[in-house]
Amino acid sequence: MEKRRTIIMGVAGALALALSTSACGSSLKASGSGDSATTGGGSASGSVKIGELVALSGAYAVVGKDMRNGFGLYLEQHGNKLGGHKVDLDVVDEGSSAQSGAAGDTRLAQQDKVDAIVGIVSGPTAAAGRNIFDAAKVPALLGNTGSVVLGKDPSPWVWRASYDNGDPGRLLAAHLAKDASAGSVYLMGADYSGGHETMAGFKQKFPKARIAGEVYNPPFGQTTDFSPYLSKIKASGAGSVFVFEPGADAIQFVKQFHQFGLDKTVKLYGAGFLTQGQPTLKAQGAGALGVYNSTRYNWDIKNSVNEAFVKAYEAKYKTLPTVYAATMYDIAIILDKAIGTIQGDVNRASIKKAINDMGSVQGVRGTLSFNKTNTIEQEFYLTQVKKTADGVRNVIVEKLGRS
Amino acid sequence: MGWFSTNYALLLNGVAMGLLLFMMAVGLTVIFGMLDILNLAHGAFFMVGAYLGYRIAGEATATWGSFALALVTCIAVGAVIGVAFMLMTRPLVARGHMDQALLTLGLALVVSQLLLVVFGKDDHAVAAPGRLSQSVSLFGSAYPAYRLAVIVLGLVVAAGVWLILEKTSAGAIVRATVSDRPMVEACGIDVRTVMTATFAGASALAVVAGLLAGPIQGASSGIGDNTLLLALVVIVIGGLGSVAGTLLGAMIIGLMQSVGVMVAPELASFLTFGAMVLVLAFRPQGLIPARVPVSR
Repeated sequence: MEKRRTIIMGVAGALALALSTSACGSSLKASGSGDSATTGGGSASGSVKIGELVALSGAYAVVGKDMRNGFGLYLEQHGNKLGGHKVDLDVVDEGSSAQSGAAGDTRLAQQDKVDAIVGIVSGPTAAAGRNIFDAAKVPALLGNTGSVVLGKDPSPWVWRASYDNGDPGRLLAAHLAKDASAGSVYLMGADYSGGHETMAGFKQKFPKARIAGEVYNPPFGQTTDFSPYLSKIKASGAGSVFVFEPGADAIQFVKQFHQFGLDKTVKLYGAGFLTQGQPTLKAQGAGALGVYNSTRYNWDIKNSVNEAFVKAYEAKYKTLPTVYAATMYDIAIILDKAIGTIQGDVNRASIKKAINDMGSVQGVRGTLSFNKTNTIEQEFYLTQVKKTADGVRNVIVEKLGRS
Repeated sequence: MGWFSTNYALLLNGVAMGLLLFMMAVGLTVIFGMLDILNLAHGAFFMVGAYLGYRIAGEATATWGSFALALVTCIAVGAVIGVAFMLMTRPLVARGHMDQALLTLGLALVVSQLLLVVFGKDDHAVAAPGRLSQSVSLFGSAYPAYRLAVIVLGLVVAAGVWLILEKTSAGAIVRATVSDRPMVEACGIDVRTVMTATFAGASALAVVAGLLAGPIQGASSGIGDNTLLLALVVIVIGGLGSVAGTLLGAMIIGLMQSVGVMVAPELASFLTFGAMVLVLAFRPQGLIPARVPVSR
């Protein structure tokens, strides 16, 4: 009997392992201000201390790396200055769990006493950060998550410079509602806030009668075989499917969608991240071809700021910028402009006021401004994966309108 | 028949996943039965196979040659890791299950972090070899040829494992070591060699399972732990130390994961553990317990 007890214990152990490996890796490293030019000085000495909270380890490390690259490129191009002030950059690892993220929030807001916080990959980190930033009165510009809760209960200290999780679905739904050839649409999302909020956005703007079905799968590598979900989509007779799957799940979903031949009869639409980044496109292979995305950024957006950005990014990192890198580059542009207008002390309060007074700004995503919930207003694009002379790429097909 | 032609894919997927799970679980159950070691790093072995597949077989396309090379490498690497783990766990054999669980849990973390250091943090895919990457037409709809190959290969492996353990003298020695080690030693057989060979074989099987699962699941950081968890559930359901039970348990879990999503998607993640709880409540020895009781 003892053995059986041990094996049950093993099940519990493995469960803990499955839930915690990514988290473990991160909290060990949650102190990496390795490359901060620690001059110690606060804002009074003329420098501005920026806290960058991004995932350096765990499941979101790929996203975090691109975010750092985007922000880092802007600083490098501008002599490590924002608004004329030397930047003291404090990079902290967000990890991949809500706990490690909240620890990073607290550290930057209270212990490291930064003048502004940028970054944040995941919704739970931002949701936990909302009250921490609000209480500490530190401006925070979110570069990736579009957590809906921050729009419902906005803090004057937190700006979603990224998007609202509902935006890609809302704008795509409005587009597809006018397009009878799209047929009925099946909705599928990863079973966590990001998936549900994205699908909720779609349902707001799409006729209920044309929604063929809706299903949510366990997220973050817990679903490795998508075939049962694909069978459901197939059986529903949907003409299109709108999907939210992050990271490794996106790779497997797109590959299997192709392997089971669904791409021959069903149009595949993603919420902006389904075929994001060249490593992902490479892993998806032929399956990625033809996949659509509703996104706030693509490398071929036509404006001079973006054209210069893409050229510099490719030269430095030997790959096209992702939406993650582009959003952080825009945040650097916003901070540069806002801080540049400050007369007198650069501190938390003056940065907040400067962002509020800024009006609109020209970023790589075009004209950007914040609405009254501190959420960014921007253009959205429909992209499709195509074979180009430079290899397989996401290419803009048309504009979907402003958020 | 109408239901079958639209849903046959679910059944085939369940069988394919079940056979991959069997390859994982059978090594785990034999090692546990024989050496009294619950190797929680078995999932990390699986992950090793997936990453070797990504690097050696290829990510976007693979040839028969590159996939075969990956297979041979997986067997070799698996055997080496198995021997290394055997040596590392030996000093703890007398120290109870908790110490071993902690050691292998720690080693699992080390191995999976090392893989990320070596292969990077990006998520990767593994290509199926040659024409197996395409789909075949089955009952009027497309089905990935590779999954059919996995089913065939999985059945061959399952039959092979069963034949070796049940019908050969080497298998008889392994089974004898599981049920009564002192008696085997008394017969003049070097038990340590038997155990090392078994550990090596079981580990190689787990690494190969990771490679074979690669074209279905890809190579990313979490796959090892998820598979380990399912393999442990399989062992509980099937009955500890029993090859036939492990095969039955693996089929049940594979099919449940596949059909369960179709029937009740919101309950899918509970079904697996629900089945385990039911088995524990009504048939705690497992569905097909080993003929010789392995409890000591």
